[in-house]
Amino acid sequence: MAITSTEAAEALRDIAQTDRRTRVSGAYHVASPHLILWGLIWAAGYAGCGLTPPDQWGLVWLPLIVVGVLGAILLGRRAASSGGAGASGAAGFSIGRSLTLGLGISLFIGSVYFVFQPVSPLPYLVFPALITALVYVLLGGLLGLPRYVAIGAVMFLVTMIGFIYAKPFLPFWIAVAGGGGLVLGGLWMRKV
Amino acid sequence: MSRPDEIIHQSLRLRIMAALHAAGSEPLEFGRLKALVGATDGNLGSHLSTLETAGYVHIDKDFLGKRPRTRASVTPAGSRAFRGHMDYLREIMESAGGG
Repeated sequence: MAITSTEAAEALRDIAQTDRRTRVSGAYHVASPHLILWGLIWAAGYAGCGLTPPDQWGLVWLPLIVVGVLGAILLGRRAASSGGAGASGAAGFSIGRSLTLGLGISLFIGSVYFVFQPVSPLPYLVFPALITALVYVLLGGLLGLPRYVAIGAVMFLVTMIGFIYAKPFLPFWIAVAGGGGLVLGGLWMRKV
Repeated sequence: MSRPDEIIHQSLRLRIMAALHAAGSEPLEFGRLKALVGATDGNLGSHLSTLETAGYVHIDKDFLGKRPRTRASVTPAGSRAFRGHMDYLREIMESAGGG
């Protein structure tokens, strides 16, 4: 068989495009259940914040975070055992890296609270959501995963709209719009 | 000089092999593979059969709950053949001065 250089170039372009699509789709596919899990946890956590006084918010979030971490580990192991890309969390990171990232972000958020000593409960609600949105945008940009950028941008926008226009019921706003947004984002990631 | 692989070089089969090669050890479900390579059901099934007959692809059929599931993965022979064909294409480009 004779293949011209034009045909070879076209074939190599086809291969590169398909390769990239498959790898990106694979990263989304792995991340999808994690986004859905954390979206549900967000929804429950923020709804809990709306139903309890601020001094009990730690008690609302602590068991949910434990559930989230255990859930993420189980999802990663299930993916690995079904012949998947290995024990990976959101963005296709290993579970270890995902948990380290989460711990680092939590320490950063806690440190900012410690330094700034907010007197209103609103920053305690809004800041984690804004940081999470930033992380999604940065990860998406650095890893070449545009859906992460879109999800992060929507989360940022939704959080700011709630902070400006929905202060009286902000926890419930973030529960529905933020948590719901993560769940929808996770479902979107299942689509090739 | 590497040699071309006539089975792999067909346009849709090339994309199928590229997708399965990129997925590595992870089998790809039929529906997802179809979307990745832009094929129809009939087309994809036919070309997967050709690749399976050549020993390049492994097809696994099972059930996920009550839902039948078909998954495809590249075999070691298929991976070698795909890489060999890519090397051949690159050699054509290099000898044409295309880099």
